[in-house]
Amino acid sequence: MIEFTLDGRPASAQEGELLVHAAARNGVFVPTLCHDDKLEPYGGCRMCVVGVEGSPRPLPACATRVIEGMVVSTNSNVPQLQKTLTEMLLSEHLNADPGGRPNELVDLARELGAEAPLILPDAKREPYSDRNRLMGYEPDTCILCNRCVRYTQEVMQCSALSLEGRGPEARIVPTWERSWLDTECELCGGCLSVCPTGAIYEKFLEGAGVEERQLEQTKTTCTFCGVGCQIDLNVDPETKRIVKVTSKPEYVSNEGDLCVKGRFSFNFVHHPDRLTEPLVRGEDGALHPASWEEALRAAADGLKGVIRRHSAQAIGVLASARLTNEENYLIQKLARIGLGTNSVHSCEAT
Amino acid sequence: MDVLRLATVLETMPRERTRLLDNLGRLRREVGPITPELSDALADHMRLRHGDVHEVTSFYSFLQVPVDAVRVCTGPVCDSRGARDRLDGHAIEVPCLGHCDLAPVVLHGDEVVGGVTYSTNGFLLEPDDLRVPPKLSSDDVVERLRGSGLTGMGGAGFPTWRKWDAVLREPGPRVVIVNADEGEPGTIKDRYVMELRPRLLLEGAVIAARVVEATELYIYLREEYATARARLEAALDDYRKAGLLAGLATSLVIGAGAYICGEETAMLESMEGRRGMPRLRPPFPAQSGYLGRPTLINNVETLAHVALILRGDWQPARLWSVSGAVGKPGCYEASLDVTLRELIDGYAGGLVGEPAAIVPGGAASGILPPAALDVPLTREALTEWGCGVGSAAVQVFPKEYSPLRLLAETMRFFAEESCQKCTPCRIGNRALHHVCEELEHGRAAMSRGQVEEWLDAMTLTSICGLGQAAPYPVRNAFERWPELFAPLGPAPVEEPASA
Repeated sequence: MIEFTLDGRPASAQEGELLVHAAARNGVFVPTLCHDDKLEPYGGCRMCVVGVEGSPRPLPACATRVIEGMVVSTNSNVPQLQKTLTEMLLSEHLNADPGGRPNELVDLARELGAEAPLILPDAKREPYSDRNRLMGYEPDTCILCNRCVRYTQEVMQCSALSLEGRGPEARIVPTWERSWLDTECELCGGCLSVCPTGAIYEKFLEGAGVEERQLEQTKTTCTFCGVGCQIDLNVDPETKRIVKVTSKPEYVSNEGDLCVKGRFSFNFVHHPDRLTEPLVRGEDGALHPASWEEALRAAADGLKGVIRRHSAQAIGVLASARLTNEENYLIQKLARIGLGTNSVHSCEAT
Repeated sequence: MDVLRLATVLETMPRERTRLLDNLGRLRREVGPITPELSDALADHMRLRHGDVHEVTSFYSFLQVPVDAVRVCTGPVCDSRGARDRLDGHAIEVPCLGHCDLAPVVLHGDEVVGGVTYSTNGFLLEPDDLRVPPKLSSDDVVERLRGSGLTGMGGAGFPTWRKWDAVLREPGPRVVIVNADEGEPGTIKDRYVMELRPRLLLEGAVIAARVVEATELYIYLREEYATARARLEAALDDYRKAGLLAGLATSLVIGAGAYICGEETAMLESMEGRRGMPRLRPPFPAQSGYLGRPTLINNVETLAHVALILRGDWQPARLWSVSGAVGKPGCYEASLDVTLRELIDGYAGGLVGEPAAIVPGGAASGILPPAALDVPLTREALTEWGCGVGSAAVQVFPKEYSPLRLLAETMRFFAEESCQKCTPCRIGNRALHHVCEELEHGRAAMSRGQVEEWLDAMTLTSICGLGQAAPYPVRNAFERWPELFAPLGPAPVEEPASA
């Protein structure tokens, strides 16, 4: 541990810890917009500047590491600078809520009492529309913090978004303004999850009027594969329907990252055709609801019949890609010992 | 697009990311303006992401423009001399082409329309002979630079010996970069050095490389300086033939139109094949520069002075670029404490008409009123006027060109050249440009108090010198010509500084 001074009080930090984290652990909240713990320090939005003794200018807490004896101040002129920087961002923030996502800039402005003193004449950016059904992008909500682009480059290692141009025309766009479907993008929605203003948003929530703060979150495990990503189902308390899926950086197996299925494929939960109980085909050729016991017995009888008529080698077992390691182990056990066949496979292997 | 041509050219292109800008420049010259398809083809060849090449291509002004395009400079000096009348449907508008002594300037492809003439004196007129640099120990050279009092001529004015000493203290391998990305409006001195004394510059660069025991030497040259490029290449050839570059890998890196790449860390990013956006400091380039190696970056003129100092025939002096409403615009060697009047009357052919405003050292150095004509152009004396000596680019604006117009054009320049990384520079400069434009119509886009707050935030929180220094000319104008800003309301009452 190293010792430093924060707003006149003694404070401690880990060796090499970023000032923004050390301040938070010592009870001082420093606002950030472009910072993301998953990404290399960027220091672009400047919202987190703090006074550091010996430095002629305030330093970004998101990119400055605490050193022994550092004297840090978040009062004096820091609140005014935060307010001014917020005003600046607001002066080209033409659309605060394109898709019902939280907007950290608006929250910050409310907290700091900041309002745009003017709207820049060149604030309006060229609109962007994309034929994919999942992710939308409203350039007029973007504050060029570059988190989404850095996420695609540093975390996903893909080419989906670019910070294009220089000067007033600079903007963030899918690479060469193509549809995301025509870039390397896999629609994982990671860029959307790191966007602080909601400029990138779930298209299906556009105009749905779902306010983030009213949603109830239930933590669960994604069922799409064996990785076991931890997800939060965001449920509308009135309709009791899942509205969207999110995840958190502190979740162990996936650190908040998701794939297109985990983030966007939850419609099946409320689908009218979804099977919610076992069905067994009767003599009449139609499917009839049954208990699990009846259903499993019917399956077992059928398999036994095949073995009797054609031998166990006539049976092949194909395991679902959605199963975990442990479940796959049980499947091969069932195949080899229970059914007596070595023909067992998982579709994950292909 | 000529696909066969593309395939042939691509095949010869190196795959290291550090060669991306070079490859893009060659593709533009040999195949055509960079289109999304060309960009993707190069990305595939270099095994880079399509987006990485898109980001870099779009960052520069010229990569998507044909090589034979007509470029009209609308920097403040050219603008004050009617440059905008030269804009027609085909010409593209660019900020400062570095030929301010010939304003208004138009480039057709690489050629300056009307040809180039020089108006100069001193060492720039001496024969550019190739001399073998003296064999001196590193300590000796650093000591002699220290004794000379030489400071960097690029704008920041940092003592040269201290920079060299700092790089020497870091473990090798080390790199030397010549900053030849002259772009500060009004500044033409480095072009004069490279076109008239390229061997003298290389002498200084080779000395620098020897002193810091560098294994690589780069010259980062702005794309618009085609003549300087040709003369540097010829001089490099001479040096190579004379065996003076043995053990020193030397290359010219050609920019693609971005003022910010003259900023040291933006230049490093640009050379490493990324957008030219300044890095956070620390670490400084002397500690961790090009590819993380200790890197010495010196301005062209500084290195010419280094060579002269070690030749033993140097008097403290610098090159002053003088342009605008004067009889003989040009680049003149004069003492470090020369006054504007001495410079203009003694060298630049006297004032033409009545001056309204004088910029002493480039866009970010501030704006002086005619009352300052007899002030020595030293850092100390100019500080009292709220200005800096910058890159010593004196620009004289006649009374027909209002200081408000000058300020608006200056802020437009900063806004268009901002790399967009940090909020205060990205938005502040655009807002100030708008405020000036509105004032010309007697309207107030913001109150004076708000403008002052925004200027403070720009000075204090911008990442690099562009955003930090952009407020200077605004503050100068507030003080010198308060009547122009009356619509903004009264200046806020100064509060006593709190601890």
